[in-house]
Amino acid sequence: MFVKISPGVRRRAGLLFEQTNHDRVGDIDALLTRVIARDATAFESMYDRYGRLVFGIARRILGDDVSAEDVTQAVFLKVWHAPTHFRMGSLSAWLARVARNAALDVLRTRSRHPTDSLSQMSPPTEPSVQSRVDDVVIDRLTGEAVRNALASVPEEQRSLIEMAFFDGLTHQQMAQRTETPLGTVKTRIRSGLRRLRTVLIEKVER
Amino acid sequence: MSYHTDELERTALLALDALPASEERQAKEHLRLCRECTQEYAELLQVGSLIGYRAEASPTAETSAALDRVKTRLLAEISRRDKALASFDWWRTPRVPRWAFALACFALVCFVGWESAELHHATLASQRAAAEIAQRQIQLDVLLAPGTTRTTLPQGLLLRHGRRLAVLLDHLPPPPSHRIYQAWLLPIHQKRMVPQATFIPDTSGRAAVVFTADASVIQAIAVSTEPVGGSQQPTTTPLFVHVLG
Repeated sequence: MFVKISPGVRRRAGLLFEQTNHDRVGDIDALLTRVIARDATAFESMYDRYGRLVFGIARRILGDDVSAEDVTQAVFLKVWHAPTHFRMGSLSAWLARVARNAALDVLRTRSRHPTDSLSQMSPPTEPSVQSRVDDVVIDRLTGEAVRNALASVPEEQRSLIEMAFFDGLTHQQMAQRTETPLGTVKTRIRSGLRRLRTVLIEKVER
Repeated sequence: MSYHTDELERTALLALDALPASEERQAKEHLRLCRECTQEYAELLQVGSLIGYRAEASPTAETSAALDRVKTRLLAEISRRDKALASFDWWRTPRVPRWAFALACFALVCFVGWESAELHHATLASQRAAAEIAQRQIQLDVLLAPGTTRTTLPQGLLLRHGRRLAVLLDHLPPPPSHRIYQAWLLPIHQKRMVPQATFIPDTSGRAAVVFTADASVIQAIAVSTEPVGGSQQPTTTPLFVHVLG
């Protein structure tokens, strides 16, 4: 199911981008370069573009605006001070992951020490794999386009993916919560992710 | 289901961060060995995170206000931290040329060295003054102590109190150029003079010499002019030689 993005597709993606009046992939690179060079204006632009995503994820996980604000601030401060932690791929996906991990950390800390606030933030720890150019292209899709793609994923698959992402559940916990066989949970999650990827790539190619 | 399909499903769970710690380690180990699963992981890793868009805050007034608050705090924080960093950077990258900085350091060292030398000289002068005051105090003690004997000398007065011995000189002319006065004593049963203090009379021609040796073992005293720095033996005819009784 591997879909390779050709230069032509990237060009069409660029045209699509122009039509939707969003940043080019190259512009996101330039934005990052300026953030690395400690350009506060570029940082502000980045916040304006991705702030709602980060805040929304934190609020969804933590359930209150005040904590979500704290997490959002912490995530973007981390970006400002260590922008090179982001290597290649989709910036929005990376930010979503950092926000998710930070919010889940707060949630776990709360359960251990109910009075503690945001103390530290774990960056995503991922095995070293080469990020794919497809993911970079996906980055220029609008939030709405991504949400539409998500809507096309069958509910029984999407709900499990959301459970893993927003609630930080393992596949065994999901199986228990949904009273679904473990094998089914695994299959649905993989199928859902592959389906989402296919739809996203199709949106770029269109 | 084949073994490898199972591994691919586990890889998808790894990409979604939905594995317990023990299985996560196994899955990462497997990634190192399996190209297909590594490919799968790379493809699904970021797609899984895009599920976050399901929660993207809608642009309501409330959300905008919250985001504006965060932005204000963020910009204030990065400005504060960058100022602190800038002050640190100033030390690392001085705005004056390095040669000018080195020159300034050299000038400072010279100035401090000069000041230090001045202070050293001042300290020595103070020590000399303190010694003189102490000597005069002894002389005063000798002069005022009951039982002090006074003997008139051609150039002044000899004071003796017990084992202490002092000479008060008067009307001494300034010593010749590059010369000073020097006191001498001759111990009993010896034929060689022992050098004592060198001195210069004040503007009135007065000077005082206190002998540190025990007066009971002194046979005679004398004063002569000597080269600056003093001599081991008199090189000129003494102004006077006084034999103690």
